[in-house]
Amino acid sequence: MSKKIVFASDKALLHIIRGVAKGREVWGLKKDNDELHVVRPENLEDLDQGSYRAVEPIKSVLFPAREDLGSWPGPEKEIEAPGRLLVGFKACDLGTFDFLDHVFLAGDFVDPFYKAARENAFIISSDCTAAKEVCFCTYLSRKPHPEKGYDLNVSPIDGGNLIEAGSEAGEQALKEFGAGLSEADKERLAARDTRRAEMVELVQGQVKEAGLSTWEDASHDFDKKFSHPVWHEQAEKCVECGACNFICPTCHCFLLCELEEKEGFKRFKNWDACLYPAFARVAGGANPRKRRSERLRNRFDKKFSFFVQELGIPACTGCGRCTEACAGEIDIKEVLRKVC
Amino acid sequence: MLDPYRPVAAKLERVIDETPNIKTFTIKPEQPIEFRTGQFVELALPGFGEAPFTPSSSPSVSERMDLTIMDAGSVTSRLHKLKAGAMVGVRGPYGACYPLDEFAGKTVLIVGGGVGLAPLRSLLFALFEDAKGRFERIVLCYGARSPQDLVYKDSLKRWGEKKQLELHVSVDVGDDTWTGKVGVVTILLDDVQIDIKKTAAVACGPPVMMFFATKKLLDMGFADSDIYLSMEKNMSCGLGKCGHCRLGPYYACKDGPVFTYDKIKGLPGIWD
Repeated sequence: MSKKIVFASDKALLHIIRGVAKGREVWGLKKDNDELHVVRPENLEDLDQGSYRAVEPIKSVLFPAREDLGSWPGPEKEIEAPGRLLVGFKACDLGTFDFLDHVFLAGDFVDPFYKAARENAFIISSDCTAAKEVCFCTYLSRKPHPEKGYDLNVSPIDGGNLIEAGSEAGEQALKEFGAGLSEADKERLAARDTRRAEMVELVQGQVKEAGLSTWEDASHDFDKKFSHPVWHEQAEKCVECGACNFICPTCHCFLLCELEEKEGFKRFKNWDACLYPAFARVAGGANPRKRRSERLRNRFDKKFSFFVQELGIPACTGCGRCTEACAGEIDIKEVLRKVC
Repeated sequence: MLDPYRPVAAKLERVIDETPNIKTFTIKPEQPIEFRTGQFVELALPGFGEAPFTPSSSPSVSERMDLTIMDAGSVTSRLHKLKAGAMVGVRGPYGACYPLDEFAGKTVLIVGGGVGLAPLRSLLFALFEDAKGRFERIVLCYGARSPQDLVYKDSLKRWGEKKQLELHVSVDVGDDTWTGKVGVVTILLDDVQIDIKKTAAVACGPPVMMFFATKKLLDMGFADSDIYLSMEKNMSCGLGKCGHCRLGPYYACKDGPVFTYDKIKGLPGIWD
């Protein structure tokens, strides 16, 4: 279904954001030195559309690091999430939903906390107009501009922006807050296409420079690479901090925790990291992944084997956050080059 | 919408000392919990944490549930300090059950080690109580470290008198009172006369026992797909979401905890 695409000046875009933001909790990007961070802005004017992704992944808003699951025993309360507006997130962030929606919403059990957060979020994403050194989304056959998962998407072009609706809520918002905006003409659509193509080329250049082509073309026998020397070699550099897990848009592992309250008990869902030595350990001490190399391999194996079997695609959006966050300078591109 | 992470409050009704470090806890949940034998629950220690256990009681009873638990970790050691009357929480049941229909008409050979007899006791109840009487011959080989480490001592005596059940028991190290077999549980399999082709083998116990039991069963001629193994893995949510119990392409909590050997053969870490 082709959705409406309109042209909007920066001012007109801000008007739309302001309109959607009414009554919603706003999360967006803000520049601090060269990095973009996910913040709750005091003023909508402070927000930066951002030319590339933020340091923090979108999951930190919708599947927070520590989520309050409420108290028990006693009557069960309705599970609610605030209406949120998320602005400035990029395609590699929206890619998160390919995996988190599957984990939390599909199957016999639905996670009502994630469901509420997801349903009540209005997302205004935007095209990348620059790449970070670590970006390699094209390797995963992904694009540096959103193709799905947004309500509105912003494509900056000379003199303004093209705004495309990706959902009914987005169409509605355009109607309500973008009245009078004209539909994008051929020239502007062509300008967007040119910019997008340039970005794809830029990222693909980085991928090539790293000695990679595409995942599709690579060898896929990940489950047969258990004894590959790369795991030992890279584990030498790993400090088991779990930063790669926490910063990853597709890492979804968590631990349910209990706390005592004045009256009753409270449950939390906390992010967990498979690089931690005790992640898979059972009472009594048995541990299927005693060695760091096994835990490092497990992280890659989960993404590039488990999810490929489960969903047909690897659980990586090519954002490069793990490379950026790694204290041991483990580069995901280097690992993939050596293994695949 | 229901919150699947939320436990149901349950009253701890009774605590039985089985061995110096194993106790059986009988709980009564506020709402009955229907389960099928082999499925597990998450038992919550309020304000402290939770851990997965497979009930050791009959699946025909949903008002009460027995959980036989060894003092082995942080949650279990706290549990062992609880007295009757205490409040706990329970969620579940989760996972796949023992496929009784696949066992029907076959001899069921059960190999248990130590506290691993807990889920097998539930299976035994299900086999004994089968409405269609489909399980005419059950062989139980059970081993523990020493005579005092044997669980369900009274039940073992009773079961030994059942026509339907052939019972073999061993201990790794005997004492003055022990007149039975001495040796690891797998030696008991040497005494068993069965038609391998018409038998399903079920094993549950500590990792090292599972490894040797599987090896022995394979040596005896069992097909990979006729060996049912209970895989103990770290499980937090029990719902296939938290990621802890992954075993190759499976989650032990969702696709297991009972797996036939052909499914998991060759996956890293299955014996740890």
